[in-house]
Amino acid sequence: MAYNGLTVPLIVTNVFSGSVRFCVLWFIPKGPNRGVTITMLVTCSVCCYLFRLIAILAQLNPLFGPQLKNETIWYLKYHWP
Amino acid sequence: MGSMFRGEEVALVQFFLPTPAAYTCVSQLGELGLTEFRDLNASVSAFQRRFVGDVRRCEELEKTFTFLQEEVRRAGLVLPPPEGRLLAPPPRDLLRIQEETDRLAQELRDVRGNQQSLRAQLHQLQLHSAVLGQGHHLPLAAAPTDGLLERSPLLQPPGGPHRDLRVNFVAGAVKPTKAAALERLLWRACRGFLIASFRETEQQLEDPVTGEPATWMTFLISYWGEQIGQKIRKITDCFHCHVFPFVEQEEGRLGTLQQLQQQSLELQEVLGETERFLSQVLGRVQQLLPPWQVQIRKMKAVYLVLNQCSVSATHKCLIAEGWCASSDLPTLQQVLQGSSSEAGVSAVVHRIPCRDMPPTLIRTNRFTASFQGIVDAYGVGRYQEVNPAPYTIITFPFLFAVMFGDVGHGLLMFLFALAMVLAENRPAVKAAQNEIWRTFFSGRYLLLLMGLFSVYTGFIYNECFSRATTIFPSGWSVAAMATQSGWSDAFLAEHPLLTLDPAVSGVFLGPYPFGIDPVWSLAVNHLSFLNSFKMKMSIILGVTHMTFGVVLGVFNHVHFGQWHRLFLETLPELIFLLGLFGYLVFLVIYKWLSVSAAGAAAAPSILIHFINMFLFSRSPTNQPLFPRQEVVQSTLVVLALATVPVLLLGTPLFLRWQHRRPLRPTGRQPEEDKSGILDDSDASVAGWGPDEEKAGCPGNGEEAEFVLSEVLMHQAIHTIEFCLGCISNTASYLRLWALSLAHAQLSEVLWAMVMRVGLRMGRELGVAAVVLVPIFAAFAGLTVAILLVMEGLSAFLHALRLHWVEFQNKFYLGSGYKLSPFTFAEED
Repeated sequence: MAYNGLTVPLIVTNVFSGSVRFCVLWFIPKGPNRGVTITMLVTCSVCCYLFRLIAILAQLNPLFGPQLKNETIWYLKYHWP
Repeated sequence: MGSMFRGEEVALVQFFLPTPAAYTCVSQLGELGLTEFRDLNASVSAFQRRFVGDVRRCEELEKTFTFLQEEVRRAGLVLPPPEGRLLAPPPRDLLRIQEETDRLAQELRDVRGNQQSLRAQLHQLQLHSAVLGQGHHLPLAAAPTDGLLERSPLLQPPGGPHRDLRVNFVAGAVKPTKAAALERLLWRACRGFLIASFRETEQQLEDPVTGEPATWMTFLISYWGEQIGQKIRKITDCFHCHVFPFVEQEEGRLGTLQQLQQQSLELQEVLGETERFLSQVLGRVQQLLPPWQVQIRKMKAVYLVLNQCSVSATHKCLIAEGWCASSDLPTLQQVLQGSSSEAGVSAVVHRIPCRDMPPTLIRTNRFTASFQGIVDAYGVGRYQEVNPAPYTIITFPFLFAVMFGDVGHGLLMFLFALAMVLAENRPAVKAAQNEIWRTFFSGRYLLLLMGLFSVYTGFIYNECFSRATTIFPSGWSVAAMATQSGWSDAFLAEHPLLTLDPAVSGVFLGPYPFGIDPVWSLAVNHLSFLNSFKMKMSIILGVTHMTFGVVLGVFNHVHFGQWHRLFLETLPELIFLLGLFGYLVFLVIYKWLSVSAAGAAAAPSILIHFINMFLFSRSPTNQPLFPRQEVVQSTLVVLALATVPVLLLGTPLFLRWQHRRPLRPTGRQPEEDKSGILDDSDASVAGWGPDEEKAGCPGNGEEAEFVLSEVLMHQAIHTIEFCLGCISNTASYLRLWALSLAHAQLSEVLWAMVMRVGLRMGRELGVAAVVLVPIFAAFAGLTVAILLVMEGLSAFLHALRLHWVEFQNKFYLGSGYKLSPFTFAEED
C-alpha cells in the first residue's frame, strides 16, 4: 500500500475488526457451549490480530532492503509499478 | 462460563440400598453411568466377598460363551450384534440361562464329535478304495521268479527252506513326504525280497482333522517270506501308514471296492445329516448368544459392584459409597426411587462430606474431547483446578500453524480433515480397525483447526507451496531505486546482485498490509530479514503465552481462597516475568516503531542492550533506544531481583505467622475432617497444598505440626523453577522460529529441485507436458510424505511440548484423577 506510515491502515482495520467481533459476540447461540464458544472467539481474534500486528510492525521501518539479482531487477523495473 | 473452565463439583454420596432391591438399583445406576463406586471392602480379598459365588457363576458362563463363540467362528459364521437395550437379568434368570447354555454346548460338542468320527471313517474308506483302485502294475500273474529276477538280478532265490514262493502283499497308504524314506528303509531292510510300488492318489482326499485336501501315496509291496512280512509290517507301523488287506484276485478286489464305495456313499449321507444338524444348532447359538453375552457381562459387573458395598448392621440393606457430580444428584435419587419401589423400602442416596480429593469431571462433546484429551495426556487436573483446555482449542492450532505456515499445505490438511468430519457418521468409517487411521480420525477436529490456522499464517508468511503471491501491490519499488541510483542496463549487466536501499526516497512505500512483502521471496537475503522477524515474533508470542499462564493461576488462587498467594506469588512472578522479558518485548516493539532507515547505520542492538542490562555495564558504541534507558533498565533488574526473596520466603513465612495467630477456632474449623486436601477454602495447613504431592502428611489434622523446613523447601524449588524457567522457557519458544524456517526451506527446496525442473523444460510442445506428469507426481508425493506428514507431526509435537511445559507449568498441576463412572458401555 502506498501509505507512508501505519496510522491509516491500522485504524481502519482496528475499528472494523473490533466492531465485527463485538457484533458476533451478541449472536452466539445460548447453548451449554456458550462459554467455550466465546472463549474460542476471543482467543482466536487475539492470536490472529497479534500475529498480523507483529508482521506489520516488523516491516514498518525496514533497516535494510532486499538484495535482488540483476535479472529480477530488469524484470521488476518494468513489470511492477 | 461453561463447565470446561474448571471441573464440575463432585460430591461423595452414600447409598442405602435395601437388600432385595440392591441388584436392580445397581443395575439401573449402571445404565445411567453417573457415579463411580468406591470400594468399601478393600481389605477383604476377592475370595471372601459376599457375592463371589455369583461372580464365579457368571465367569463360568462366560467361558462357555467363549467356547460357543469359537465354534461359530470355526464354522465361518458371524455373530450378529445384539439389538435393543438389554438390562442385566434378575438373578433368577441366571439359572435358566446357565441350563440352556450348557445344553447348547453339550449338543454342539456331541455333534462335533460325531462329525469328526464320521469324517475319519470316511477318510479310511476313501484311502482303502484308492489303494485298491489304483493299479499297481506289477506282473502279478507272471511268475514271481521272473519279476524278482528283473528287480534283483543279484539275488537268486535260494533253495532249501527259504524256497517259499508264495507271494504276499501289503497294501496301504502313506503320506507323500514319508514315501521316499519308507521306500529307502524297505529296500535297506528287506533288500531283494520285496517289490514295492508307490503311486500317488489321483484325487485329493480331505484330511479329517484339518479339512484340507491332501494327496496320499498308495503302495503295494509284494514280498515272500514270513520274516520279511513281519519286518515290513513293523516298518509300516513305524511310519504310521494305513495298511489294508489286499486280495490277490482281481475279482475279490473289485468286490471289495464295490462294497467300500457303497459304504462310503452311506457314510456321506449320514455325514450330510450331521452337518445339517450342526448348522441348525449353530443357527440357534447365533440367535441366542449375543444378547446373553451382553446380559451376563452386565450381571457380572453388577455383582462386582455389589461386592464393593458393605453390609449394614441390621443386614437389611447394603451401604455403598461413590462419587458423582452434584448436579446429577436429583437424577440419581429419582432413579433409585423408581427401581426400588417394589421392595417397599426405597433406596436412599445422600451426600456426605468428603475427606479425600474428589475426582475431576469435565464434560466434553466430540469437538472439545480431542483438546481435553491433549491436556489430560499430560495429567488430569486436580479437583476444581483451572482447565487449560478451552484456551488450548485455539492456541494449540495457532502455535502449530506458526510453525507450519503455508497456504497450500494448510489447505490440504484442512480438506483432509473436512472430509473426515463430514464422513464421521458413516458406519464404514466408524468400524475401521486400522490403528493409524483411527488416530487420525479421532483427531479430525484438531486437524481441521490446525489446517485453518495454517492457511491464515500461510497468508501472513506469504507462502503457498513456498511461492509468494502479490495480493496487494508490493511496498518496494524497484523502478524508483533504479531511476534514483542510475541503474542502467549496462550497470545491471555488470553487477549480478544489487540491494534496494530504503533510505532512498520512493523505494519503500509502506508496510505490506497483510503479511510479509512478496519482494522478499525474490530476494537473495530474504533469510536475514525473515530470521529477525521470526525470532522477535517467537519471543513476543512466548512472553504473551507465559503471561497468560501466570494470570490463569490467579483464578486458582481466588477459587481456593488462597489470597496470600496472590500477593506473595503471582505478583512477584508477574513482576519478574514482565520486568525482564516484558521489557525485552517492549524494546523489540519500540525499535520497530522508532528506528527508521535513515538511522539504520547507527541502529542500536537489542541483544547487546539486554546483556548489558544484566551485567550493569554499557557499550559505548551501542546507542540507547530512548533517553534514560539505563536508569529504567537498572530499576527493572533490581526490582526483579527483589522479587526473588519475596517468592522464596513470602508464603512460608506467612503460613508460619498464620499458625502462630491466636485465632484458633476459625482456623481449625475446616480441618475438622481428617487429613487430606479439601476442595474448599483455607487449606491453611495444606496451604502449600496444590504445590505439594505428598499432601497426606499435614500432620493428622493437627495444626501444630507445621513443618517450616518442608514448606521452605517446596517454595525454594518453586522459585528456582520459575525464575530459571522464565529464561529457558522464553528461549524455548524460539522453536517457533526454527521450525517455521525448516518448513519454509524444505518446501522451497522441493519446489526448486522438483517442480522448477519440470517447468523449465524446453519450449517444444508436448515435452514439458509429458515430463510434468511424473514430476508433479513426485512433487505431490514428497509434499505429502515430507512436508505434510513429517513436518506436521514435528510441529504437532513441538506445539504440544510448548503447551505442556512452558504454558502449563505456570499454573497447572495435573495431579488429579478422572471420574470413571460405573457404566455398562463397552470400552474398546
